[in-house]
Amino acid sequence: VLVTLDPTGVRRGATTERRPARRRPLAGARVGLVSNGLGRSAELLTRVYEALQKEAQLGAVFTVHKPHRSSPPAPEDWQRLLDEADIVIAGFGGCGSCSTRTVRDAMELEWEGIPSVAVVHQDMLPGVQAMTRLAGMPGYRYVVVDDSRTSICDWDDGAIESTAKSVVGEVLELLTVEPAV
Amino acid sequence: MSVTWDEAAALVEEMRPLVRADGADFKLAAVSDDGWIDIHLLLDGVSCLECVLPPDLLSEMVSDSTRRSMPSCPGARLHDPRVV
Repeated sequence: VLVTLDPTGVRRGATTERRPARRRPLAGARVGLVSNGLGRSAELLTRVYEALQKEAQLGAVFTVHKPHRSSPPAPEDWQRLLDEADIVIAGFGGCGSCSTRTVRDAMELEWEGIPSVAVVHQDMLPGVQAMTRLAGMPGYRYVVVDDSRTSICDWDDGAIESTAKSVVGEVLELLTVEPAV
Repeated sequence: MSVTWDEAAALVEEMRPLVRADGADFKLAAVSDDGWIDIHLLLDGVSCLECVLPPDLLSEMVSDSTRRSMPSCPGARLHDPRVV
């Protein structure tokens, strides 16, 4: 089976590779959480939101559950993110393509004008770095979790809570500080 | 301007991390005289087929990468066994 690729092609679904201006403060910002369904990723994202809420008085939150780890959100969920989210947190990148796709989701949301951050595990950095580099955004920053366990399926409540607390500062920074060009 | 095997191999090497964690791989199969690149997606070591980045995104990544790193390349052909 052959797929012929046009090297002059334009990325589908993306307007540009721009980075939207960060919103400061985040008070009242509506938050979209993009869960890839890996293990307890939705719980982790919720805990991150709750920790962020204490620091930044965020607005309403909703969670989008992707149909599969390596796929984007369903079209209706993608549209909801574009319509109803001021900022997005995506995760959890703790396996192969769930990591590369998670950071890709965040980058594509940035291209659509929504400040976004991806949360990934340190063991998956080679794939994540390849994704940002090959997508033309080698300097795109994301939050790296360095828990000794890669599989979020194995994380207990304490690990979820402590991980959320450990990353919230960087999540806040990436959503509020203007990125270097 | 033609594309050398080494240039195409470097491109493939750069893309490998996208799929290696899932047990998949890319293989440079051919570089034609007129510069077209043939790349095969290898899925032999994959235990979860749907975990590998989907064909449309991989195609897009290969296309973008080729365009960025080798502007003079006429194009790349990705052979993805999942595409029927």
